[in-house]
Amino acid sequence: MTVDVTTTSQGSSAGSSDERAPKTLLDADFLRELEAMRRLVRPNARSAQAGTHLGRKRGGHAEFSEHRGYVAGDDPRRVDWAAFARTGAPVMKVFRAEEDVAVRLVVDASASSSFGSPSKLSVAKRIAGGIAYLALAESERAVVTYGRERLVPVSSPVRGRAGLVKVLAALDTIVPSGGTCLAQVIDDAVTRFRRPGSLVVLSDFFDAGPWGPSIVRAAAAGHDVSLVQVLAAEDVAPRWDGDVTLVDSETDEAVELTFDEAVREAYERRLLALFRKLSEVATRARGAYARVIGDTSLAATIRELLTRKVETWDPSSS
Amino acid sequence: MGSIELLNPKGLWLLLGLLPLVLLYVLKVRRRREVVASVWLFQEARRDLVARHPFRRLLPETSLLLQAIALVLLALAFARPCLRKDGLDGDVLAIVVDASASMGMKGASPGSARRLDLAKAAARRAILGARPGTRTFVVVDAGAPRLLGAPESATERTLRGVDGIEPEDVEGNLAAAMALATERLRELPGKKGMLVITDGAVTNPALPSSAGVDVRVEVVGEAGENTAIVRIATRSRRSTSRGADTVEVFGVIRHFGIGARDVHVTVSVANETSPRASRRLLVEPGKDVPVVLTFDAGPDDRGKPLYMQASPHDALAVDDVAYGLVPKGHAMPVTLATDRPYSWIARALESDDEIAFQRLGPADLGRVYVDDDALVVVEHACPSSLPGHDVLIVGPPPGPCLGVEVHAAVEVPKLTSWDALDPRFRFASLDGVKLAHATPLGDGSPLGTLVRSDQGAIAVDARDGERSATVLGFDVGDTDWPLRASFVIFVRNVVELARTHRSRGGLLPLTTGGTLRIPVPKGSAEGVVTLEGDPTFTRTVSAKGGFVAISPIAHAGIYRVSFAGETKRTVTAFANLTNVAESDPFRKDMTIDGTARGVAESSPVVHREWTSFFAILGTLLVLADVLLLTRKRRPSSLAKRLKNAPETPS
Repeated sequence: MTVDVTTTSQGSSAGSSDERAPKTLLDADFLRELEAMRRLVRPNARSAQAGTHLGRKRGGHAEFSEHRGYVAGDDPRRVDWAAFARTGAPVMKVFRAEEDVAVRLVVDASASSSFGSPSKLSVAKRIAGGIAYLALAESERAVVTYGRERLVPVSSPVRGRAGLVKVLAALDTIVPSGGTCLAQVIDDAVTRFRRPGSLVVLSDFFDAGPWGPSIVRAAAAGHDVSLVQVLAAEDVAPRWDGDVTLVDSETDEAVELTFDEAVREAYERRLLALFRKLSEVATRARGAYARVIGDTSLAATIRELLTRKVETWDPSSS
Repeated sequence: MGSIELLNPKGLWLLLGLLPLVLLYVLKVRRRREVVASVWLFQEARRDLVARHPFRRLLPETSLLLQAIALVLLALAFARPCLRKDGLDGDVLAIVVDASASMGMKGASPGSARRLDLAKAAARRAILGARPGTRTFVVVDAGAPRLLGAPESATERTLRGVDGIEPEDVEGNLAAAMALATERLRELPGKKGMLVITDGAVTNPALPSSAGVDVRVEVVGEAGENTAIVRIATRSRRSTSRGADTVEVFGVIRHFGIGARDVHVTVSVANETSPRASRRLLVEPGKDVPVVLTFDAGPDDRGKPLYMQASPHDALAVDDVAYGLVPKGHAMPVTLATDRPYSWIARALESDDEIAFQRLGPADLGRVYVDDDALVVVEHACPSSLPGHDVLIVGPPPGPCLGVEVHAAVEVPKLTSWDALDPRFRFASLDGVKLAHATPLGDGSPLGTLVRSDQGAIAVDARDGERSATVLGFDVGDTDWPLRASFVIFVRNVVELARTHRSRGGLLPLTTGGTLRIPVPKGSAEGVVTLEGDPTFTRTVSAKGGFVAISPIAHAGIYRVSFAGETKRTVTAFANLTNVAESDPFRKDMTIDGTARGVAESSPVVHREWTSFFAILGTLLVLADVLLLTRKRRPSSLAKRLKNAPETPS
C-alpha cells in the first residue's frame, strides 16, 4: 500500500532548509519497511478498553497465552480442569487480553524544529507518520498533536487504515514557530489523555525546562512513553569557526563565542549529557528512547521504538 | 665582560606596529551572527569551559597573541641583537678614534652609516663592555691628537665625549694619537689596553706597538666609490679681451672605485650662482685626470675666492670641492729702484712681456706708489723699508741689509757652488761665471746660502716672513754673467717666484689640519684676529716673526682673516683637503708592528648575533598564525562516533 501525501513547505525560519525534504511523508520504500515491522507492534500500555489488539497484560478472556501453577487467590474459574485431571496439580489458564490502545503523537513544532536539512520537523513528521501507519494498521487509534509552549491537538482520534490520510493531513498542517516548553506539553498530554496509551514525543529536546519529571509522571499515569530525539547534523557538529554570535531561534537570546576545538569539545560533552539524561529518563519511565540525526535510518528508529529499546547515551558503546 | 646590544636599534621602531595590530583587534566588531535552534547547550558549554580553563579568559585571541609575539620577534631580529664580548681587557683602556676626513664617508649601500658613527658605536661597545672599574679615556685623531678628558671609570662622561666626536677635514695621524695614548697609559698603574678604531684610510697603515700595552685595531666602514679633487692651482694669462685676464684653474681629479665614472667639473667664483667654466670628464679608477678650466676675469674678480667642484657628490663631500683665489692679473708688477742709467737687470726685465715694469730712483721708493704684490728690485742700496712683496737686492753697500750682514768687498772671488735646487736657479747654471768684485754676505752659515765663493756666501736668501728676499752680494755689471743665458733665466725665475706668491695672496698654501699663518707688519706684537669661516671666532693672538698663527684649520673652505694690531690687515685664505689617502675609500691592510695580529674587521668579537634566531622564530609564528587562520576544521569526533550521523553541511 502506498499513501502519498504531498508535504507543504516546512517553516521559514533562518535555519530551515528543506531542499532535501521528501515529497511524501510515507513513500513506497518506507512503507515496505514499515510493513515488515508490523509483527513487532506490541503496545505496552493499558487502555482499560476492550479492543482487537492483544495487550501485554495477561488475564482477561480473549486469547490463551500460557499455563501456570495455581496460587492462593486465583480465580477458580480459570483452572484448567483437564490439565488438573492429567497432572493432578491445579493449573491455571492464562489469557492475553485484547486491548484498545491509543497512540498519541506529540510533535515538537517549536521554531527550533525548522533547522536542519531536511528540517527536524519534517523528519519528526515522517517518523510520526510511520508510527501512525503501524498503529492504524493494527486497528489502534492514533491522535496527532503538536507542542510548542502548550499542547495543541490537530486531529481527532482515528482508527483503521482509512484514518491514515487524516493523520498525514494533520501532520502536514504543523509548521514550526514559537518557543518550547516540553514539560508543559507533556503535562498537558497527560491531562488531556486520561486513558493510558502510547505517548510518542518527537523533539530535539533542546529545552532547559524540567521535562524529565513530566515524562516520569506520564509513565506513572500508565502511558507507554517513547522518546524520539530528532537532531540535525549541525546540532551534533557545529560548523562555525572563529568569532560568532549565536542567536536563539526561539528566544533571540545571543551568546558570543570564539569557536575553537575547546569550545567544540565542551559542546559535545554537553550534548552527550543530554543523551544520557534522555536515556536515564526513558529507563526510569520504562519507555523507549531513539535518536535520529538527519533523515537517515527512520525505519530503524521506529524499529527501536517498537522493540522498546533505550538508546544508549554513549555513542561509542552502541 | 659580555653585553647584549642592538646593532640596529632603529629596528625596534617595528614595535610601533603593535598599536595598529591591537587597535584592529579591539575595533574588530564583525562577529558573525548565526541563528541556531537553541543556544542552551552552547551556554552550558561556555560555562563549563570557563570553569575548566580559567586561563582562557587571558587568551581570548590566540591569533592576536601569535601575531604580537611574531611582531616583537621580528622587531628584535631587525634590531640585530647580539651578545658581544670584546677581547680587549685591562685596568686602563685607551680608545683611539680616527676622526680624520675619510671617517665622514658613507658606505655604498643606501642608508649606510658614516664611518665615524660606526667607530663611535664601536667605542661605545668597548667602553660599555669594559670590566667594571676599568678606567677608560678617548684620544681623537684629527690630524693633531686630542685627549677627551681624563681616564675615569664613570662611563657616562666618556660616552658623552665619544658622542661629541665629529669628523674633521684633515689627514689623520694614528701614530701620533697612539703615542699620546701610550704616554697617558704609562702614567697609570695596572694592565693597559688600547683599542684603535679606524677606517684604514691612512697614509701609513703600519702602526707601532707599545711596550706593555695590548693594542688592538678595529677597522670599520665599508668601501664605496669616491671621486676627489686631489690638486688645484690657479694662474692667469693675457686675455684676448681688453682689460681682462684669462684665469686658468688647474685641477687633478682622481677616481677611487671599480668602474669608470662621468664627472662634471665646474669652476665658480664666490657669491656667483652660475659656474664660470665646466667640463665633463670620464675618470678611470685609480688614474689622475688633469683638467684645466679657463674663464675671463675682470679687474673686479681679482683676489676673489673661487672653487672647483666635482659633481655629483659621492661618498665623501669634502674632497669634491677645492678652493683657490682668482689671480691678481697676469702682468706681474716689478719695480726697479736704481741710480744707474744702465742696468742689466732692467734690460732682462724689460724683455719680459708678462710684467708691468716700473723704474724708480732709490729715493722715490717711499714717495711713489708701488703695488703691494710687486717684486721690488733695488740696486746698490738696501733701504730699511721696502714696499711691494718680494725683494731682490743687488750689490748692497756694506752693513746690515734685510737682516743679513754685508761685508767689505773682496776682489775676484771664485764661485764654488750654488743651490741648483732653489727655484731661482732652476735651469740656470753659474758654471764659468767670473766676478770682478763681490761682498761676502752673512756669518758663514750655509743656511740660506744661494751662491758660495771661495770668499764666502755671495748670494743669500733673506726671507722675511712670507716675503721672499734675495740678496746678491755683487753687481752683475762686474761679472760676465749677463752675457750668459743663465742670467736671464735667473731673473725670470725670480719674477716667476714672485708671481707664484702673488697668485696665492701672499699666503702659503694651506691644507686642512695645518696652521694658517697671516703675515703682519714687522714689529706687531699682538692683535685681534677675526676668522670668518668654519669656525668663526675673534681672539687676541700674539705675532711672532712677522706672522700670527691660527691653528689648526680643521675644515676646508674659504677664510677671511682680519688682523687688528698697530696696523690692520685683511687677507683671504683658503684650505683644501687634497689628500689622496683620505679620499681613498678602500681600506689599507693595517698592521701592528708589522703583523696583522690584533687587527680585526668591525665588531672584533661578536659571540653571537641573534638576528636569524629571532627572524626564524618570528617567521614560524607567522606561519603558525596562517595555519591557524586557514586550517581545515577537524571533523567532530562526536559526529564520527554517532552512528548514521550525516556530514555537517558547511
